[in-house]
Amino acid sequence: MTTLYRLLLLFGCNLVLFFLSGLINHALSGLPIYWLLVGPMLILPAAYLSYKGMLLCLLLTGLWIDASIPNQFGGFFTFNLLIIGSLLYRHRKRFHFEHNFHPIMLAMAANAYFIVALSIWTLWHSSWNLEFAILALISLVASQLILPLLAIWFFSFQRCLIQHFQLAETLHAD
Amino acid sequence: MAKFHLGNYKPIIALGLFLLSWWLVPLFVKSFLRLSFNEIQAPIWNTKAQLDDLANFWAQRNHSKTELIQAGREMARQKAYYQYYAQLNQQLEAEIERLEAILKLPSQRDYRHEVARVIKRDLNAWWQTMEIRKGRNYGIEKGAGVIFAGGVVGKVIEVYAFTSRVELITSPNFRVAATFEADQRPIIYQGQRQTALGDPLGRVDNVPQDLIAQSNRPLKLITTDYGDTFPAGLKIGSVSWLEIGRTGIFQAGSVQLDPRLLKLDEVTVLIPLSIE
Repeated sequence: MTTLYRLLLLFGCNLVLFFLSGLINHALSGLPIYWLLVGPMLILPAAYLSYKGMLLCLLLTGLWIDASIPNQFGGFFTFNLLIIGSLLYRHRKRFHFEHNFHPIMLAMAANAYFIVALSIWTLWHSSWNLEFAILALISLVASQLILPLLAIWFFSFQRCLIQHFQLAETLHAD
Repeated sequence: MAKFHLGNYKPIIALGLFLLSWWLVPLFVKSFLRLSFNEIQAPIWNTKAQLDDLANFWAQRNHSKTELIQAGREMARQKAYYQYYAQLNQQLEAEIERLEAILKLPSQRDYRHEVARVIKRDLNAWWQTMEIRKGRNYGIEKGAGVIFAGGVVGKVIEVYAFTSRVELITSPNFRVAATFEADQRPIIYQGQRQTALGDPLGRVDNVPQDLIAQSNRPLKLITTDYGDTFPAGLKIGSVSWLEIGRTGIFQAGSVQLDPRLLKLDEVTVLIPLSIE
């Protein structure tokens, strides 16, 4: 049951992050800046959940994000969250998730992957133009600049909730 | 050389099997999942919009009585002004009907106007959409045109129970037949991504070579009724420069759109009356 609660808690945290980034992007809509902040969502689920739990958590997160973007992108986030999450899960023993340094670096790498993959996906379905490249680059830089600060809060928030709800006793047992 | 252990790759194999089974899931199941997840999200954004309205309401309550009386007077003046135009509009509509009857022309398509609040603006390099607080509950249909005081906003691309998603006129996926004011020949308008802090832009193609646009006398681009999405004559934007396009036969140029497009809070959805 602890794993299930932890899964639901991490999924809930992902929804909070997604909602907050949506609020900020709504307010920034007059500017060419957009914060795509998906990277941090897969780090702690891959670190603290069982493989099945991680798959379920990232599947729900991916479906949630995909439902809020236009239909033409299909299951882009679901598909990529699962792939990156699985790769991270396979190598999770190499990283120290109890401190923020490795999770932040991993979140930044994952986030950059998402922005680049999304841009390639878009270019695959439409023609190349300079406006798109500039806008995607601005989004990449803006997201990567804000990500370390946001990730510090987000990972601490997740750990704080895990501690608060006493779901930490089997944290590395799965 | 390290030994190959299949057990090490269990997560990757499991993921592969999972993605394969996901790929085999029928399309209607995936559509149902997408629809369900969107319907679950809708109340969150609706609540946020309602809270914004409430905050505005309390902010308005802080105005003094003198300010409210002044605003009421201003409203009364505006009302009298628009009442005159409403009468004029009725007369003109009656005249159109009379002429249609004399000339035996098919009547123009009529629309019902549904005003809706914008609950989420999502404008970036990959998609340019916004969500509005009305959906199937107000009879909104996919493909319906969306307008505001400054002209065309876009069209509805997805409709849910209580919300709808609108693709903006700035989206490169948005294409519509248009024409210049005082020129009946149709041309193609397509959205263009915003590149810097400037106004939103679009693009026109297939413009005949005899049309000349100047920065001090820009050409006004308006909608046509060819596509059944918008009535004819709604403003799209203005063109102040045209140059020979890629074909060498027609001209092409950038369309300056209304800067308010990127900060809209309220829009109107045009619902063709024949749909109802």
